Amino acid sequence: MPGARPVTQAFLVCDRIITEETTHKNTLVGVFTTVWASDFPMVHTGLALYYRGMVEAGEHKFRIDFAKRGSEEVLTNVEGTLTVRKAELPTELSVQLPLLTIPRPGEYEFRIWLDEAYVQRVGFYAEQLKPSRGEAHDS
Amino acid sequence: MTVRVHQRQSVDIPRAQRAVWRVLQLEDVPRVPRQPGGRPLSFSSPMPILVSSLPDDRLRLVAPIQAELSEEGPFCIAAARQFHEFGYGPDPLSAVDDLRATICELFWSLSGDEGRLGSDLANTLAALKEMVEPY
Repeated sequence: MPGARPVTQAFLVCDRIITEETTHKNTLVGVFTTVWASDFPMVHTGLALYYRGMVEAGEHKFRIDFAKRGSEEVLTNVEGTLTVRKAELPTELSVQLPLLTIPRPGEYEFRIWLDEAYVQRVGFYAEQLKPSRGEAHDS
Repeated sequence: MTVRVHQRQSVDIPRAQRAVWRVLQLEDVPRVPRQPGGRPLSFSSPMPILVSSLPDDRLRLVAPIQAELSEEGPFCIAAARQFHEFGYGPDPLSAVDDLRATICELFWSLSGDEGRLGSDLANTLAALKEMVEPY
């Protein structure tokens, strides 16, 4: 399997990604840096990841790990195979994560790996609200 | 969870390749302590980690760099021996990110002074150019 040799242009975390059927344009809704919750562990619903970069043609193993920043413990991950047909064109990946458990307040990150090699990471903060204020997040 | 990503290409708008994968249930994945690269947690000896990209979209790695992670006091060190460069940080990936940034800075700095370098720095630049190319 050839190396992916990615040149990353964007790696973002947001609420939702809407992909237009006809044009394949992506709309990133609610790009955020902080998640607020009254109680932990919390289950975050409706989180999405967007990666755009130049990747070598071919089949590449990918893995995305979710972990607390600075920790080697991977809380959860997803892995699979990415097929790139034309290296000269950008590759866009939209990852929809319906549920994500965040165990406690702190800084978390998603780490993307291609062909077992580290590519990029993107982080966000999980912060605790006073109990009466409910659950929300902002940017 | 393992998924296969299928790229979708548009005939009308061929500027970008796109792929969408949907993760239906991340909670199915067991929690497994793991080091970067999937190796067991241990710093008793330097641990290799492959790095395939640089934090500068003007540069591309010719091939993944094999860096070595080690601990020194409260810091993690990521060393790229072929460049005689290292990065450091409070955790392994922070050290790797520091190393990636250092490689970019070194490449541009030495390339800008290419005609005026001494032999050691000229050798470092030559080693860099074998692994890093402008994109």
